[in-house]
Amino acid sequence: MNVEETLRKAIDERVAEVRPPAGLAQAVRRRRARRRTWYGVAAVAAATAVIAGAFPAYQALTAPPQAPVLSGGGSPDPALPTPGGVEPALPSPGVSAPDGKRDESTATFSPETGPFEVTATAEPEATPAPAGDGREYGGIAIGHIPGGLKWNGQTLENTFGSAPSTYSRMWGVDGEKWVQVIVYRGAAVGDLAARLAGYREQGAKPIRINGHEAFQVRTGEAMGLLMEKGQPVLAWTQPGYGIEILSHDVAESEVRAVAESIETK
Amino acid sequence: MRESYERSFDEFVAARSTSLMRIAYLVCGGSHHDAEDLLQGALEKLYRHWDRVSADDPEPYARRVLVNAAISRARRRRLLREVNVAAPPDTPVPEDHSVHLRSVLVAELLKLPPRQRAVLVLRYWLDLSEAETAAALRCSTGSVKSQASRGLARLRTYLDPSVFAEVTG
Repeated sequence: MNVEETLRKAIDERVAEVRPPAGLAQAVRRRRARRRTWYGVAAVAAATAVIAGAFPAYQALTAPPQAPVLSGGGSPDPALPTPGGVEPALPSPGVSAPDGKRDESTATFSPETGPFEVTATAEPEATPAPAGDGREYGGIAIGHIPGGLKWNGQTLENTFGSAPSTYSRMWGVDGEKWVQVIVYRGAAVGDLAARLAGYREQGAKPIRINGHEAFQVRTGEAMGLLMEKGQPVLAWTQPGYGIEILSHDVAESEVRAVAESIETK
Repeated sequence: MRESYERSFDEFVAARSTSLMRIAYLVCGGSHHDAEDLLQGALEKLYRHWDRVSADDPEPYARRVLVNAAISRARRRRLLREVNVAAPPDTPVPEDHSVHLRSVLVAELLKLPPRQRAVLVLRYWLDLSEAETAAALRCSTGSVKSQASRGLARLRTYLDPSVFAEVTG
């Protein structure tokens, strides 16, 4: 029996009933429009906040994409949906609202298309993101974020590793280029330390970040395994903290600059 | 101009979305939800660059975006401990041995590492050449060969009646 032929037949049978959803092209346009709208609105809101000192407006407008921002007006761009056609968007699971409440919705974090992709699958909640550039959280302050990257307004808490006390934020542009800084505290630091030890065992050469031994590596699908074309990671531990920076399409030197700019409190 | 841009995109989606959806379903491990999300993401990227991409054959581009997004997603989900593994369905043992064998093969295919799975889908289901598969996955043909060989070797074990009997109890 030929495995290739059997496999082909097996796949044919399995996917026979798999069909795309109806209205796919329109859904794609709406998805595109949501993304564009969020960026456009955030940029305008930032300018408004600076010029008029309208901080509450900035807070409201830079919240994760919410339908109401489009209300009251159409768009000259045919790709933009009508107000009624805008789908609600939500933070991802584990994303904390500003008041610290954990969102348990079913929305999916969509990392491969970028942290700025928000896919809604549940009712929205009015949870405006905290204002500002989001550089202070989890007991750290980040002094440098590569030019053009903007915080997506979300914080992932207790999502990484086996122990709680992890905090993560992401900065990006158009879902294509981003950095994610994950802070490990308490017992969670041990998770990262174990991975770093693994990097060393696999032959990674340490570098120094603010006097601490760090590793700038690429890891594969199996977490902790080095892979030439894997996910770029820069990570280190220091007393009371573990810090891990993931990135996409950002130069290594830029990632190091982010790392070196981090101060712990 | 804009109208023809939109129309040609609609036509492409109408013509190719079933095939792309099935690829998405396979490369993401058999989850309808993930497959839809992946497909929308890939088509959105396609739509964004439609004026440039549509001048040539857009399908290879869409496929490339799709499989690489699936692989990246699998990688990132491991990081996030949010693995949404679509468990292969509990298929009752049918009387027809060959039907059951095929069901086991697909279940095993969906358990392979994402890149290996993508190679098998592109090479043996879509009949892409090694070079086309390599281009879609942005890797070397040598890597395609080795991934295909490993993936097939794993699946081939189920063609051995004794192994098959052991696995299916």
